[in-house]
Amino acid sequence: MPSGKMLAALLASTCLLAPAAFAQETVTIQFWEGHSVQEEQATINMIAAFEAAHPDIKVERVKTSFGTNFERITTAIASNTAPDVSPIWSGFLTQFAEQGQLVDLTQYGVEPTNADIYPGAFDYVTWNDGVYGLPYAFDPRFIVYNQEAFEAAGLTEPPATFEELIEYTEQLTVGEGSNIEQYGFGLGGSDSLAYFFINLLYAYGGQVFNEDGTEAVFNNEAGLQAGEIISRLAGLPGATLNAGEGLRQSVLHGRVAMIYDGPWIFYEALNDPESEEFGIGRVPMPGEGDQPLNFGSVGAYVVYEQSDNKEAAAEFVKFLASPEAQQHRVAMLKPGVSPGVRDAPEAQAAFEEWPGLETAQNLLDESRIFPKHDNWPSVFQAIIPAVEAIIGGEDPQSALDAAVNQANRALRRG
Amino acid sequence: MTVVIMQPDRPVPTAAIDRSRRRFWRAVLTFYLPATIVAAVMLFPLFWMVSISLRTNAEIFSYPPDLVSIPLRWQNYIDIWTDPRMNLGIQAWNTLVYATVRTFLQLLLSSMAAFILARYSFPGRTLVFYLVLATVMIPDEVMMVPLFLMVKSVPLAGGNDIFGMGGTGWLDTFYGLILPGVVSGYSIFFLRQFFLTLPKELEEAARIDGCSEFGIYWRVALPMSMPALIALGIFSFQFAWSDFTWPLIISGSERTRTIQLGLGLLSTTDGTDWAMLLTGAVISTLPLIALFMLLQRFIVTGVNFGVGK
Amino acid sequence: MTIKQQQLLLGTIFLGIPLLWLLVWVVTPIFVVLYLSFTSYDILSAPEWVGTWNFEDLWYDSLYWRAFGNTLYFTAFAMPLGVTLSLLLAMLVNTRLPGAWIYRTIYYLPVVSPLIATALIWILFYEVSTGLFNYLLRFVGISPLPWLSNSATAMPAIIAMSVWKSLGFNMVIFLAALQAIPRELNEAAALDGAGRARQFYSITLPLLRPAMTYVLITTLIGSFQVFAQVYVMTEGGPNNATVTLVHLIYRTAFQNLDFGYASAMAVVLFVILVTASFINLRLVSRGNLYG
Repeated sequence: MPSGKMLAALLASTCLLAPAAFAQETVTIQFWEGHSVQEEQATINMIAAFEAAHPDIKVERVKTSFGTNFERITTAIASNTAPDVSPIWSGFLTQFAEQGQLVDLTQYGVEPTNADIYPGAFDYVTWNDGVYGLPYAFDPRFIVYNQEAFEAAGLTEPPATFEELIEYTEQLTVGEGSNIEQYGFGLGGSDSLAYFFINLLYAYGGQVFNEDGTEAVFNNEAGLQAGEIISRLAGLPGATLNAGEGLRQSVLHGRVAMIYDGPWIFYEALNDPESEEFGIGRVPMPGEGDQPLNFGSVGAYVVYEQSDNKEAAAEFVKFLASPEAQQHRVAMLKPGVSPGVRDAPEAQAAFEEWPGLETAQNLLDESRIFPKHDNWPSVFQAIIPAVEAIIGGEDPQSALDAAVNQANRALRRG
Repeated sequence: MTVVIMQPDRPVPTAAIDRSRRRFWRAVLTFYLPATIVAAVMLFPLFWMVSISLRTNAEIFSYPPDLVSIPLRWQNYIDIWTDPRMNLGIQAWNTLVYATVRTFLQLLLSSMAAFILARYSFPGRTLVFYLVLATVMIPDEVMMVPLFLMVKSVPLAGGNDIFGMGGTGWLDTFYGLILPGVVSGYSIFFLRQFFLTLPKELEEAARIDGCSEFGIYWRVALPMSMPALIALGIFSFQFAWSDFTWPLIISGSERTRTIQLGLGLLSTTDGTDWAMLLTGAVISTLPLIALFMLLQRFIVTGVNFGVGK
Repeated sequence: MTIKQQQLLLGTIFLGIPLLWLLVWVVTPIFVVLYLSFTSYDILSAPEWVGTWNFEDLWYDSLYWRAFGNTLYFTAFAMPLGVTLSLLLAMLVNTRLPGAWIYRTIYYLPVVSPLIATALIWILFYEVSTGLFNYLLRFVGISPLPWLSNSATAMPAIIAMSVWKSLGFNMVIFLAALQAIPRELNEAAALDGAGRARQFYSITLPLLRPAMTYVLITTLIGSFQVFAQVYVMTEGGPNNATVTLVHLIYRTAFQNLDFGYASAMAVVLFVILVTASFINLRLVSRGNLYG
């Protein structure tokens, strides 16, 4: 049991090193986190390893509900009561960095180009030549498919192109009308819809913003092609798009043959003894030989400008992104943010048991995140309804035009 | 239900039996039957909630939907007490303190203002009432940020100087959690509406009997409005019990963390632990149900110790 | 002390303390919000005065007006349904028959259950491929409906859940009010030969007026501020079909960190609500002393 060992190590280190550390003047850094059980366990192990290596730094881990929209941290910053370190995600990093609330880690020895971290994830933390945090989570999107369902339909490989995705969806659909026994393809949650669209947009060579970020342009040729694919999928009775909770369960139990999802599936399968065999495959591309690419979502740990222990906090954040720390995440079935993690012992043990996890890890080389922009949230909010409209049967052109108008309005507000 | 006790040696007049039978069937048709049908509809989602709290996460999304999933997973109700993300015992205590103190202060302060607004006539009374009412028309979601900054700047609290600078004020304290919300336009409005219905004669009779003005409030108006006070008390307690956003930004540590915040920790960017969340939801609802069961009869019979009877 | 002096003293203290409290903790933040609505403010750094810019922008913001329309839609159905049904429920359980307290408690249960948990249950019911409603529809041969992900059904789905969740609340208020009506009045009317319907219209309803005023006004305000269930169940989707005013305000304030703009939205909502409540109050009271 890796976690048990680490816990023992933690106990040993606190008992043995405490007196020595006392003489050396210990720094305590406050670390807020609101992780799930899975991530929390990884984090506990990482902190234990960090404290063992840095006897002069103590980490006070405070369980914090961030609220769905970061109300907790935003108000803490406004009242000068922010912690030293916390996770951050979505557009908040750029917004906070833009307002000078985050510490630029280049002052503490982080290189502006970091070879130890996947470029896709590292891209998230760079802003105006600074590095405002380091990634801790990088979750690629891929196709999860039920192997039994694939065998029953005579399929061996996941779809490689969007045409195949549509074709397979039809082939994998069992039943019709009010009696669909098995859906061919599933996609769920409003955020996922937008990510799927952005993934397709990137795959067709498109971008959300123009070069200098002054305008949203996702209604260009690539956007329309992406919208067209979604529209065609939505027309299939065997595609359940905009499904809610429970999609992972559905694919693990053959209610849906394949879904567009991320590495959460492994933990789900771990906790469901009755789950069926599943495989994972790359996100399809427009053409057979296209350079593969997928969307990845990212989270980073940041040090706040209000911190009194910036140096120790920076040390902590740097450690958390290292292969040595990241292997504990892989042990908890999430890919690591650093390519070097593949050689770490804990990670290799996990890969051995979960070959799909290694596939997911390797997909990170070709993962790209959402565009960095200090107005990203309002643009994202314009993309979601557009995709929902397309699924609802609206013409992609008009849905995307309306969304681009809405997004540009928000951009003009600044 | 009316129970008719048959005593064989002393025959009950048939007319009486008929009457009580008729009364019984009338009660069934006009009350028990419709009430049970409505109850089934109201209860069904809650039954589902309990049923799901007795499953593993994997069983929640089973298809076809099962009414109950055997074996029942009572383990959830044990695990929740030791879940590292929640500290249910402390959180329940914190929530109890928050809800109880808030409720009593709210009842006291609101009934004072409502009494004057309903029973005394003075120039500007209607205007004051409208202004009080208007305070509930800005959504809490925007009030939160200024209110939060005020709580942080309470002078001479939490390391603050006389100008409210330098410390954290009432952040992460019960003062900050409770005090800003104890007077609300809703509660004053609510009690005013009830005080308005008290007969004027009563007040005058009390005055003639030599009752002081305070006595009229304390010994006439309050007891006679018991149903309303109990109802408001239940609302206020329940509001505090289920409040999420205000405790979220005010509470900074286990010291003031409430149950709802504990439940909030189960819902993360990496997904939600539904089984634990529902188990916690069921447990956290039990005190409220008990409270309502205990107090509902005062809403219905409270008027008895007034004059209505 | 004369009665007049006593009244003056009591009036000052009794009204003074709560009003002062209200002034500090409620009115002050309202004015801060009003001030912020004329600024550009991202919570993280100091606000910047921008004059009426936010309001001008709001006027041309189609999403705000969409949210306004959705909120009206919600109110137009949730309010009459909720008020009528809760009055009926209150009259039903306003009885001394044994066991009535059980029914009262049952009807109140949805109110006390945590929203996040009950919302999940309804989401599960509404689920397209695995939900209970569609499972039942299959038996009558109807194709599964994407309740929450279809623009036409999403709002009704939320209204149904909201009415279920809050019925018990107004029921308790009506119940308390019904109890305050002296039994003798109805009995006397019955002796005079008045039927049940007649008793309801000429005795119960007029005497319920103060409670009715309260319920109508607070339900109106509550419906206009509907937020949590939308946030948990649909996040405003699909295609903005369920975006409501407060949901948009919340999103603008905490997701886009455009607090000044959110404040302007809130101020406009405030003006709308004050007007609507005032009209409502006038209509219900019609010069009656209970106004």
